[in-house]
Amino acid sequence: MIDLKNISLSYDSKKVLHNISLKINEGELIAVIGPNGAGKTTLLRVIAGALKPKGTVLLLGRKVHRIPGAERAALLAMVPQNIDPDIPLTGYDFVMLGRTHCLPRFGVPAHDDIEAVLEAMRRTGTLELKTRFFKEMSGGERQRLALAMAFAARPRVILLDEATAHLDLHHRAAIMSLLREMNRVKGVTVIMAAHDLTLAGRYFNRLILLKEGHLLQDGPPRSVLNAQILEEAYGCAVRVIELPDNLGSAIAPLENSEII
Amino acid sequence: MTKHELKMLTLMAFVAVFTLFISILCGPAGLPSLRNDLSAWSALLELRAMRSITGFVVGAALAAAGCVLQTILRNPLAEPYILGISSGASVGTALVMTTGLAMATPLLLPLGSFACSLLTILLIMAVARRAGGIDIPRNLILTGIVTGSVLSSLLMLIITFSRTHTIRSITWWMLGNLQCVSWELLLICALPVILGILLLIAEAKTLNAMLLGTENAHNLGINTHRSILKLTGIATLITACAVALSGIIGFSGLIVPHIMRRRIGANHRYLLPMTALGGGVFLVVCDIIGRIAVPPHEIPVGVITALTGGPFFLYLMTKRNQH
Repeated sequence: MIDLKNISLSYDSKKVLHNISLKINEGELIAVIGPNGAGKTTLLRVIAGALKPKGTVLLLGRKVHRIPGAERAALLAMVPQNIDPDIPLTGYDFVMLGRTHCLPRFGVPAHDDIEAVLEAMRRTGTLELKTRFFKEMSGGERQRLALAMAFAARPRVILLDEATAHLDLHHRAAIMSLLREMNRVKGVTVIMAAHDLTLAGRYFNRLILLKEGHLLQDGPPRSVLNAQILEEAYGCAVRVIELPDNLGSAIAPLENSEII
Repeated sequence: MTKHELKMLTLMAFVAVFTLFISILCGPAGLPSLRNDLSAWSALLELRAMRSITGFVVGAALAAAGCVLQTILRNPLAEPYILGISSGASVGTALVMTTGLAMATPLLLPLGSFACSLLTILLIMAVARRAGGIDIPRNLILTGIVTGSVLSSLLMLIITFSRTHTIRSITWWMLGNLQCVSWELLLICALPVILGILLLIAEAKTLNAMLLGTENAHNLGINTHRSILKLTGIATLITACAVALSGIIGFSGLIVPHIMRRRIGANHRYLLPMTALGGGVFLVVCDIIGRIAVPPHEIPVGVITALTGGPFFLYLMTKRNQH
């Protein structure tokens, strides 16, 4: 579905992605992990077509930059890490932004658009935020609305940049279950940049580990969440503890780690 | 648009019609008796109608342009002046006035105004592009402020070398003068304004997406580069027409969209028509005040917009901080 061939990218003189090649199949559930500045967000932005790197990014066999905006937005939705909290829109109008690619120029949104928005709000538990202004909401509520906006687009690929960072345990679990359900039932491909390694190991089938713009590891959680590999990536000693009942692994840093 | 929004829009349209009606009835001379002098009565009504419609068109144009610029630049202080568009239009109009071309045909006033504002915006875009890209609001704002200052000085230079009677008309025009010289000029300027506002309303979904910033708008399927060029171009056109009609009128393009955004939110499908109607009403009301406040003298409408709008804006700012 997504094919990255020899991707390199620099910001001014600093190289942030080094010759990365990846193949992502339809229906995969992927977490991109790595320390700060590893290039996780940049990789998502490259896949979304927001940045033009050296190399080729193919979405369904077509260069992502060549796909017309409306068509690309129907295929691929992005949930950003931070959204300006001062946006003077109600929750409903905000989620409706996810339907921008198919809204008419004049007149009211079609029945299908309204249905998609309400369904997304119902699934993310944000229906009660429908008439409240975005700027009056908490960070967690805004984050759930951002997810609802992406769901409302009914895309085939969802990119999430630290999308659960502001959520409490309950909402984090609910959103992750929802992402898994969408992946299982509707075949939506999910790619999320994540800092929480325990969460990444618990909910995702494939982990992509980056370090300083290089692809360090790519595989199932069991092979990537290895104490030696994580120590090399993060520069600190960790302990990987297997959790019972197939809940994945908990990652704990060791206290005597060197602080840089 | 919800039923409530549609109701509010209809109500605003009624308020606009009512304000225009009141404006036609008001003036330092009042209304002459219909029985005594029918020709004077109809001439006065015609003059006032022309003036009121001019005020409404100019107010709507400046408010709609301000609303669009505030969204594109993601800056609540943005208005046609901040990008130097109004200054460019002023230089164009002043050139047409001083060279005497305005006497040849009224069409040259909006043409000169639009040509200079278009050159201004092209210059700003070119510089902003070299400075890192027009998608970055900071680049446009900084370039616009500097260009606007240079053009204001150029306007002063034009005035310095003008004849005495031209200086007087330019000075009066700089304070904001809604008394349009002919129906022809009003029509020539009003048509692009109406068309421009309709085009902006057609771009409401683009403007809504731009509220999230250029990269998020891109992710929602918007070609941000092309949209910024298109929207700025339309805002330039309607501002140029407004400046050609009435001169320099500040605050209308700043406070009306700002207040509307705070009161009704930023869904441009609703915000833009409400702002355009609100801007028209605001300017017509300011003009009524200017005409009846100290009869038989008349206070230029630009002075009234600044004297009423400025303090009200400051009041809103302090209220916001307290909140």
